Amino acid sequence: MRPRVGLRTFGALLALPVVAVLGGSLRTAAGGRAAFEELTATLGALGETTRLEERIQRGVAAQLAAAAEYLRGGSHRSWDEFTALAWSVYEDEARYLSLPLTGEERLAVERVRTQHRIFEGMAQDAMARRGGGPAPGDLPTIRAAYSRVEESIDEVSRMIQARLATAAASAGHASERMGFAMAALSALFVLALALSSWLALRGVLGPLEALQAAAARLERGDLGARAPVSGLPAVAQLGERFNSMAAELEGLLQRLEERVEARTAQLVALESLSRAGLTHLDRDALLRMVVERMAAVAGTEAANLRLVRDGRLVCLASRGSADEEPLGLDRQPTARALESRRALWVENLAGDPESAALVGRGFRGAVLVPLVVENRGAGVVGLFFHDARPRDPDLVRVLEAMAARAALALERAEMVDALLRNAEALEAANRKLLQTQERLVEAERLAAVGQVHVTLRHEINNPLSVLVGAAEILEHRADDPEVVRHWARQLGEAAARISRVLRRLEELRRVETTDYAAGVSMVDLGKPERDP
Amino acid sequence: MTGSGGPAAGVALLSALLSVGCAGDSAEVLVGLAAHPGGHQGAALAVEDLRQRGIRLRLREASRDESFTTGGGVVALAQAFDAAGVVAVVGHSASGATLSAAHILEQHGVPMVIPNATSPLLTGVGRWVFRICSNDRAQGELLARYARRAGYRRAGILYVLDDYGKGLAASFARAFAGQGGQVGLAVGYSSVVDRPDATLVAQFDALLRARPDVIFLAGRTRDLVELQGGDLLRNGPPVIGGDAAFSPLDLQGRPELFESMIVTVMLPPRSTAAGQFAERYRTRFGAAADNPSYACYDAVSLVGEAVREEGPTREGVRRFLRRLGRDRPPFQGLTGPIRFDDGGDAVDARFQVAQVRGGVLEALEP
Repeated sequence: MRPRVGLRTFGALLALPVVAVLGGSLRTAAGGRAAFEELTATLGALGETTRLEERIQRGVAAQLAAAAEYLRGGSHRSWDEFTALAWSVYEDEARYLSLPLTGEERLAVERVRTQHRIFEGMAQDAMARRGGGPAPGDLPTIRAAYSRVEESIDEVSRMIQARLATAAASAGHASERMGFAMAALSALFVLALALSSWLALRGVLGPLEALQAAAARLERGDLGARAPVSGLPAVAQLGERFNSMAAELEGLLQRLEERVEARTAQLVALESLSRAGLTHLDRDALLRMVVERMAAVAGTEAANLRLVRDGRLVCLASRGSADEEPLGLDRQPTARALESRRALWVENLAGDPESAALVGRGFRGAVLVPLVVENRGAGVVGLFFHDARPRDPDLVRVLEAMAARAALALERAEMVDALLRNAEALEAANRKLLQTQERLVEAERLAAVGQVHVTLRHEINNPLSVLVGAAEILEHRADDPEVVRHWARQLGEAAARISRVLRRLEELRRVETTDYAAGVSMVDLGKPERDP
Repeated sequence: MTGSGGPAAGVALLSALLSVGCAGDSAEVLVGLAAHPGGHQGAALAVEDLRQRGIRLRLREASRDESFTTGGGVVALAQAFDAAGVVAVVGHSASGATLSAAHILEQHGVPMVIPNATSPLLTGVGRWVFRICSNDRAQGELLARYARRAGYRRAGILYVLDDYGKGLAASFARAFAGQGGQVGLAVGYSSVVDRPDATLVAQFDALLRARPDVIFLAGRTRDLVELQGGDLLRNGPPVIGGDAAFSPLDLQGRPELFESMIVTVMLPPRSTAAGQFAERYRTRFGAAADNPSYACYDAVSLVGEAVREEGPTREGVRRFLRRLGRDRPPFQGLTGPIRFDDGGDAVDARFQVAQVRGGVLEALEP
């Protein structure tokens, strides 16, 4: 409190002389301005008066000359000239009246007009009385009247000159006083400068140093740095501005970080969709993932994905409370998104009559992102908000990029599905072929057994019969050496034949058959062995 | 509405009190008047009519001599009007006096309504000067056209050596020559007479020596009577004159001096109001109303209406006059609708050619 009382006292002591000097100076300046305006007006009047005086004097002198010429015996042309001058000079006299004259000056101008009229009247009277011959006797009287006109004009001129001199003197005095006033104002200025310097030392430098320290902290990254709001109003205001700027900077950085985080999450989601396109071959799982990731990026729970199927938009994946009903291809605003192949941001669903169902579910805004495959709209991902939020161009770009990748992944998944469906059909056909083949092989094998059986029966039965008969003979006729020898040979030949048949079967490379009996085939072993 | 108009109403009331205070009567508004005698009588009737409507004007009237005087007299009169605190001045009669007064009143910011002065130099004097009659340029052209149609080829001009006479004579001479006529001689005479035996005989002799077939008179009845010019006019060729050439009030009981003369006049249109005014004027003053009577009646009525509409201030009167025909309808006077152009001249005022028959003017053509 102590310094404040001191300042107040100091201010009060200083104010009295300052106000006195300032008021006096301003009054002097105002007086000077009025004097200079008066001088300017007088100069203008003087200039115009001088021009008019010259014209009037010339005109009246010419009138005098014309009248004199006529009175000396001149023609009517002189009178006509006098008349023409009378009609023109009076207009110059009237212009006198429009000047900014004082009362005295105006009276003097009226005297000019009166004297001129007397002069003209006397001249006209003289000219009218001239009759047939010269009558110069009136000339001295007319000249005297003319002299009075000149005198009256001179009087006006003198008055204007006097006013000019007065105005100039007044302006000179005013200029002198203004010089003193300027000196006083200069002294005031110096005093004010000293005072302001003193105030700067006390109230300016301290807060400025604190402000500088805060700025240094801010420069080092301390966003919480703030300057003290104190000192002179201008300095305190500077501190407030600095604090406001620092707070703004802090908020700005925070918002920037949040934005970077959001953008990073979006890019991660986008990248995951790209990877899914390469690895995820299950279409339904892929669609669910697209809906989930795009909803996460958009910051909503409610989303769905519809694909064009048989002239309709059929919902294949959804989450949250998004609707799943199929839509016609002309259903707005989805149709607009499909047709434009660009994301459509609906800020206020309530304004769209065809979105009444969505509004009924409590949604206020939506983003409809088309899935574009081979330059045609293949489907739409709908993302729904419970608030009517303004369009976010960055989010739109990310969602469109995600939709592009999702469309690629979807296309690839559908191709894989088609391939898988083709592979299953091929496998079934192969199985059927193998079964048929097995059945054919079995049938062939059974046929071969029959043929072998027929062949063996045909080729071996005969030697066997020989063997069996020889054995019986030999048993009964063992005593007959001839018989024994004969049948022993026969035994040997029969056995050799059987042996040859078996060898030929073993050596058979290509099975050829031959009809054995009607409908029965046998293996063709070549030319059968002749019985001995 | 009460609240919104408070400060303006207060200022208007203060101005009214100041103005009325200057007039010396707490209820009357002072108006300066310097006019022809007929004009003073017309103005008196206007004051009576305004009073019946609750508009109380009081005329600060100049004498006859003051009304016609020029030179220092007109300066003193204009300054006296200003000092008396008039809200407007109606006058003067002569163009010269009017011209002098107009510049003074313009300088002091006093509205001036000119009833009869016709000098072209009064056009565009300033923002405070308004004229309800036509000007000499118009009547000079009208009379020159009439003279040529009447078959006159050579004109002699007799003009008074003042602003009115010079302006009108010059206008007629230019228009007459422009339509193929010839001006034989123009003779000026002075109304500032300092010789008791002065007459216009010499001037007439000079004119007749030039053998004109018509004489154009740019002078005043009063001058002609005082300078014994009336009798002379009867003995020469036909005479046509400007609006000041004939005034029954100035004839001093000798209307025959001007019988058959062709002059210009601004007669009021045939209307019930004009007829009633003429009858009332004749009853009151025993003479026919002349042009200044009608014009001054209208001029004073105009000021009264301005006071009623805008308050008793000079600026209010000026504003009212300025707005006529712009954002206000023209004022319907005895002389016809009144509104002003940018130069302060009446837009609808027209001269007519008339003839003196039995001491009365009768219009010859519209």
